[in-house]
Amino acid sequence: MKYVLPILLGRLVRIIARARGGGSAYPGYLVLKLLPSFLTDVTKQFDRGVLFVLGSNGKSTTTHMLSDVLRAHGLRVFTNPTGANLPQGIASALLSEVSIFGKLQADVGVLEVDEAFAVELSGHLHPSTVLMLNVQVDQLYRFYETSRVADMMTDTAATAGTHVVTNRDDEYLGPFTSSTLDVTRFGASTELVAGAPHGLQNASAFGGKTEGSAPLHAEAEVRALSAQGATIALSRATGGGSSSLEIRLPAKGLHYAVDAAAAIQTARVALGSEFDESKAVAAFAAMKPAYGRGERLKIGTDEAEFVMFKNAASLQLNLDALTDAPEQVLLAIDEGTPDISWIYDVDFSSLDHVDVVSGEKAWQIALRLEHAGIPIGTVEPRIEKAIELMKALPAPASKTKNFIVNYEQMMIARKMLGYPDLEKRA
Amino acid sequence: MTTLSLLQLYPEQLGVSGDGGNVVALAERARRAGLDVELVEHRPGDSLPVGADLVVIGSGPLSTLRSIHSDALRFREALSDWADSGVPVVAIGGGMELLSQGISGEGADLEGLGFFDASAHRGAKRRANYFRVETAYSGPSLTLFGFEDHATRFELAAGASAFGTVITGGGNGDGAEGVSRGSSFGTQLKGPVLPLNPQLTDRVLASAVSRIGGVYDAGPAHATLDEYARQSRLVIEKNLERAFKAM
Repeated sequence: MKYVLPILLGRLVRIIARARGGGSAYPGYLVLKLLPSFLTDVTKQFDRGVLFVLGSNGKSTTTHMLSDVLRAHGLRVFTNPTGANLPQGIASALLSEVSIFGKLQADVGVLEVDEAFAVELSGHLHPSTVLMLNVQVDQLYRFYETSRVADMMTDTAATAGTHVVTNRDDEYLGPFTSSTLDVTRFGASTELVAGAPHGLQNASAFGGKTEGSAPLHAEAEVRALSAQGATIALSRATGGGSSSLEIRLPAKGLHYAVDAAAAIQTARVALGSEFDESKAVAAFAAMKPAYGRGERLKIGTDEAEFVMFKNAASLQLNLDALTDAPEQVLLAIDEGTPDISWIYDVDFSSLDHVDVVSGEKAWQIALRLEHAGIPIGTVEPRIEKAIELMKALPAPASKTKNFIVNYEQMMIARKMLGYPDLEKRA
Repeated sequence: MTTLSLLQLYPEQLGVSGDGGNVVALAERARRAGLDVELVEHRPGDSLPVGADLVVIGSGPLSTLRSIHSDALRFREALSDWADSGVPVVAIGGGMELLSQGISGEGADLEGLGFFDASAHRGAKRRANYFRVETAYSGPSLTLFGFEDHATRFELAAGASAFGTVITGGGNGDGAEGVSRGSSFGTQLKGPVLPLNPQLTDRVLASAVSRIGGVYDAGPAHATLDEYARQSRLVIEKNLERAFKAM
């Protein structure tokens, strides 16, 4: 009965918060204050335990992929909505699905977790499996020392119950080993990485960590990219046969293919002998993009294709994934990304022009593009007006208007295009 | 035509704060003024360049400062000789700290190049905020805007001069900001500082170009850059009091 009052109170606060417009982590915060064991009590009901997804970039996409692959195997999955990866956000997400007695009908939890809170959360959630995606140079005002971010992830991996899945191609994370845990890896073939304009954007350890080590094996490796998907080779480090999966991807780019390899390898170790390649392929065939990651939404008679980024690495990878210079582009960043010094580290040459730059940082984006000699149509800091300008452009032959935006601008733009219910459960 | 040789030290290791932007701003403005620009990049293990007309060294975390430390010490004499002959050296954040007498605190204990007569003490309260500084570098007082993100108290030796005065932000920790030595300077200003503050960039270029017998003047070809920079600074000025949550 100890659950009834905190859960009812949390729900009430959640209704009020949503009525006032938008999601909030406050209900989760309140429940954790009243019932500190809430996260542990609810998630220990999952027969198959909890899986953590960690990384500088790609957490939401990979969590989404892994959840769909597990669902295709008949499991009931609890997962946190995009970006709700702090303790209070996860508590908010649980709050919306538990009964007032604290019961939750799910077999497994797939949770993206903020690196800075991962060790703490592991103490409450006891993940059986920890997936480490990458260490990339993130927003500097939060993560100024990449080696420290890597330590946060590997310290969390060491608390896993059984399995760790890590990135073979990441200088910090690839070498992770353990005498007690099952450690496997994912990656992309040398040829694919060499052919990518700016590689995989993983942070360099600058000779600090990998000297003299033998080449590492990736049990799931991206071997080829096609217009719609990727080829992923599955194997084992010793013995056993190998196979090759042709999967469709929900969005374009090598980084999405690598996320898919990570999700598939994690499903393999979590499901063991129950893992079924055809079910994984079917899951990808039916998969929708995660919010704002390659998502296409109607804008008049055309479609807006959203690309979201939060730092230099994710912006560069998304620009590199463009096959041709887009016909119509909006580029917007606001104060949600306070220090954008790094836009000078990004190579914008895959764009031959930008129609509208927007957000509070519009002038700084314009300054960057002018230094690179990329023509700009209009500088319009107000995103609402900028979207009107994009709408008013003549219909492009590709039927696509590209929206390259940070998280906060994506939320506003999505809402303006008539898709308000972004954070379904937060 | 006058050719300006622009040397960037450790572009990968000391280049995560948009430090390439300072190089781009110098090169682009010089080209728009009709100069030829030769860009030279120095990486660990490369042989020492014989000379340069302008040097830029960017910022990076302590782990990367350590990784280039032994290579950087090779520049001890050369940088000092170049600066004495009038070559401007622009050093940002970690690069400025590396060029000081040394970095201590938080287990850093790194010997510096002694280019600037100052010392860096890590472990001050971390600052991540917009930053407004006034400087009299190479001319009348100039207001600069940018971003600062560091946890360093920077202590100037007696007789060393600051690069400027803090109007809003933390800087060295005592109201002064950075350090200057002739036409060279070190600062915590990021954003990056040179594209955002073209008047400062023009003063750096004018020093470098006059040393090699050329003339640098900004003109109509710089108008769009200047206008975008002016608007960017206005937005920063409006948001000066915002504080960002660091870890």
